[in-house]
Amino acid sequence: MIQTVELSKTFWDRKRGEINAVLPTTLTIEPGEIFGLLGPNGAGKTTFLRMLATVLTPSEGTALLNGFDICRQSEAVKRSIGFISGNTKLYGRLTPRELLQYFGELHEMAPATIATRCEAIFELLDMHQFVHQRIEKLSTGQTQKTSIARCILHDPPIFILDEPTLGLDILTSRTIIQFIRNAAQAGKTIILSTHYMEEAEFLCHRIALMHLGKILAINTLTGFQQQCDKNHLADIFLDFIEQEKGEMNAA
Amino acid sequence: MQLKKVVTVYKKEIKDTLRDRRTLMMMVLVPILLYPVLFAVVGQIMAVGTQQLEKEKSVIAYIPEMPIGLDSLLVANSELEVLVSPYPAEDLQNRAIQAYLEQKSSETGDSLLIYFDAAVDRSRLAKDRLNALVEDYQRQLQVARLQEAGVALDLLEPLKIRAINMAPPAKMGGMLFGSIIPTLLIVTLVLGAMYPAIDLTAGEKERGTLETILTVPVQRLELLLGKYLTVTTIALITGILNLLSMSLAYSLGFIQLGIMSGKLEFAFSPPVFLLLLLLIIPLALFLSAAVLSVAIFARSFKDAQNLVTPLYILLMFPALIATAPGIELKGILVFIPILNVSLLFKEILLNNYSAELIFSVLISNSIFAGLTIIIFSKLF
Repeated sequence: MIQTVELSKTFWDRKRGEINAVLPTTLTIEPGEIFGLLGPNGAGKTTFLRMLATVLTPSEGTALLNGFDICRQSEAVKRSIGFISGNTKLYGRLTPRELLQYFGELHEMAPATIATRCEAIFELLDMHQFVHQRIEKLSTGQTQKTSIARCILHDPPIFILDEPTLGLDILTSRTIIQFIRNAAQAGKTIILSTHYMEEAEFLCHRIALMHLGKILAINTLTGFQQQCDKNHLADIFLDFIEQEKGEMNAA
Repeated sequence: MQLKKVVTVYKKEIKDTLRDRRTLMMMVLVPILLYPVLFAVVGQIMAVGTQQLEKEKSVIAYIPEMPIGLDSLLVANSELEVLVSPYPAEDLQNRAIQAYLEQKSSETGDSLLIYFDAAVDRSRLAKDRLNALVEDYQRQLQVARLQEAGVALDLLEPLKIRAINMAPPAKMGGMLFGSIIPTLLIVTLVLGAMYPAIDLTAGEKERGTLETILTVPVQRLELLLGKYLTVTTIALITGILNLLSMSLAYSLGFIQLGIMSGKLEFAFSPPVFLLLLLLIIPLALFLSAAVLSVAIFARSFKDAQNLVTPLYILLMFPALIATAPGIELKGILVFIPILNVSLLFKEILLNNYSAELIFSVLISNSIFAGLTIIIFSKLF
């Protein structure tokens, strides 16, 4: 389970002054749920997810992941999550097998467990062909599969996925989407960010619409459709942005 | 902190680093090939240049009148070519001649002046040749005059003075290489440490792998120590390879030192090699920590190179001070890192060291290495 309480992040820029990357946010994501964070570039999705992954320290508020506080129990949080983002690159001079061995050891997994998990993951993600090739020689899709493998190796209860299908071909995207569905069915808590509206529509149980650091609304797709009387998430999203602009102008 | 995780990070970083071509170049090719080749090529060029210069005749002139018989000696000398020069000062300046002679008379007696240009190699050689010839001429005059006066010849030279060098070739080698090797070794150690240090800090940031590792349960200190041990290991390998290749290249005759060849010996006995190895360890620990502490501030490889270069120059200072004449390993110098190792290195090669001195230098460098690591861990 993920629970955030007034979680926010403010950056200071010499030219632009104070920047509210994420405004105070409180939400709860249940086990078995796929929670989508939808918004354009610069909405604050990645900052929000990086705080959950303990890479960034929140300016105010906190979050509990699997019952552990991101500010005070970061090591326990790290054991409970699998995190992927555009910034979590892999060691190019290692092979996928060596990489998983390394991360397994850092997660204090027994050698036999690492070996068994590796075999299962290679099978699951269809990685056998390239597990002995250096990562720097792999294609984008193969690299992303290796990232997913790294993220699920220690079988964490929570997955934090920042644009997991960005730039991937249809086949690799399908493998990853299937993996996310299976993980949710297995009771994992999943938060993912995307700006692919269709992906959010067919994959997420609930969706948060995020714009300029603020969560504008959280609902299921059906809930949004009824609320706005529109079918497509893109139209619904634009409605909310217009509404927000109107409120800001009025203020 | 878990030692097991430090070892895991260390093993991974070593594997990763050894697969990097740039590091391998710096670690293996530079120490094994560059310095011996540099020495061999420079030595060869110097030897050829000296031989060439000695084959050439020195072009000289003189202002008449010369003392009786000296002019014919000048003309007859096979190493000299005498030109008639109405304006010898201008000719010397224009390098038409390399030196000229002038006799001057005064109330106190006659003197013979040799004019030359000390900034020109050929002119200095011409002066040496003229000096030798004129001294020989003077001795002949003295002998003739003493014989004419019926005075015994040994009156002029009651004592024959001869300086005898008691230093064996090994000690002579120690004197020369003891000045050169510590400086080269520090250059090699810093170069050996530089690439992995940058790669494991700024390189990780640039490639985006640092964020990946920060999302797994590994403490920053464990990560730091693993990286630090990797950089120190690579620096040590580089240093040891450099020492071995220099020693081997000299014993196999690749390094020629012109007129010094044959008068020098340079080889490590196993105990000396072990002592030098013992000294390289704290030096590598200190230099690696220093390079890593600077590289950690950089955001990219290029940025790191800009930051590490001034440090590199700074670290060279103590090594260069150690080559100055008259500087000895005593007093406060025993506790100055790099400088003390450089001086002790020289003393070991000269076989002039004590266990107490080695202990003091080791302790001092280890303390400085420890302090640098503590500062580094706070910065990381």
